[in-house]
Amino acid sequence: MRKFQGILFIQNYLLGLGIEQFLKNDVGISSILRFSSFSEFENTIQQLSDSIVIIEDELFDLYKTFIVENPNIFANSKVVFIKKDKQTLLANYELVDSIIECTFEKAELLDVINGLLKQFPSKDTSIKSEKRELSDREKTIVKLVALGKTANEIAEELYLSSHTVITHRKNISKKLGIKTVSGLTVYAILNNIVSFEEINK
Amino acid sequence: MKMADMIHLNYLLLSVVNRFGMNLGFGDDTIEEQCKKHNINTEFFLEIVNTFNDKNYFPQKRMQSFSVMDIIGYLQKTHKFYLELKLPYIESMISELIAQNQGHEKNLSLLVHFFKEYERELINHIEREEKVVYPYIKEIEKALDAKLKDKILFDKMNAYPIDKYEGEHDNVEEKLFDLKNIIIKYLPPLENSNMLNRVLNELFKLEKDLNDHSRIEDKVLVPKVSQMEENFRKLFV
Repeated sequence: MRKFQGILFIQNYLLGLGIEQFLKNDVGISSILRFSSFSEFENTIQQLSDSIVIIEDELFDLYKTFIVENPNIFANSKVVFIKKDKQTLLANYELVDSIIECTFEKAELLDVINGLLKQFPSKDTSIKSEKRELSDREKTIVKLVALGKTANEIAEELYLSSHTVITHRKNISKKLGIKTVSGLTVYAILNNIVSFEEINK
Repeated sequence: MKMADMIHLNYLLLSVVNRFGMNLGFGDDTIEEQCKKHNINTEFFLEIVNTFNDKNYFPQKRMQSFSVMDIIGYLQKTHKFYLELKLPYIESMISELIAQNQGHEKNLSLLVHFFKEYERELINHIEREEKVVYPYIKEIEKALDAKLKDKILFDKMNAYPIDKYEGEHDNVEEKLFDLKNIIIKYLPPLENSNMLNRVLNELFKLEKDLNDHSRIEDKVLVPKVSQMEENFRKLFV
């Protein structure tokens, strides 16, 4: 069983506590470090392989500055951005690996985190690790996008907020390397997430 | 430098050079001689060719110093190149691809459909520039030259200044990126994929050309026209 590490950059006490417990109890990551700033982190020497780094939305600007000054520090980690406020827009999405929201259910959180854990290079050479598979939730969203639904319509159908749907869209685009609706539609048909006939109705 | 030597250095420049009306069979002509023969501003030609050759070379201020007519002229020739040569060429290759892979109609028809959608978006974007944006720029230029306080043009400018027009590049670029990725990653393998390789090759070249084109629009034309709009605005003060 691989030993992963969780590194949290979270100032909000309850949020940090909640995420720590989630990682320990639901994901099985027992080694967790919490920092409320990047300078605090710099002052301790850290071993950074196999780390999931979770950063609170307010700290995003500081994060951007931090990685400009330390470009390789998180190169082998997976970086997750957590939105407390659904309305927060994320400009440089390329700087993180995934986004989660406070309102995500346990299953969705597990999807994202486990998906990232699978991406770490495996010490066992027989396992192919760069398989960026879509989670079930993500497949559902791809299907609805392919059927021509807007973010609002999808949100209504799945009982999510439209901002959450957009977050999922961004994560999907990142995994697949496909950004446009038509592109996702082609992907959906090629991967049997939706059929040709359903689209043409 | 001789034209021939330039082509030896980077043969991909040929498609750019063609846009200025210059064709193979350069003999020993220097670049300057060829430019004079075709009535082209040599300095301008050199900047265009150098920026195409080296993506790290982009002397923005210097390029803004050229006349707006020269800049628009080049952009229009590039549009013609896309509409009359590049896009039809890719279309014909895709038709050939389908003919060679009869068992894969469903998947390939998806590809065709996606490509046609992309084509339509690109063509719409180009038409908008040709029919609305460039004429508008020419009007501003004329009004500035004649120091004419054209009130209708003034209102037009305030309703839709140049930077509002040019926010649109991203969407079209995204579609092309998706198209490439679908071909590279997600289209199930074909028996006869040689033509698909060639299609992909052309898409990569088109993308590079479009990026250069957008760079000139965004970094040279738009700032220059913004400045012209400022000057035009001053007439009314």
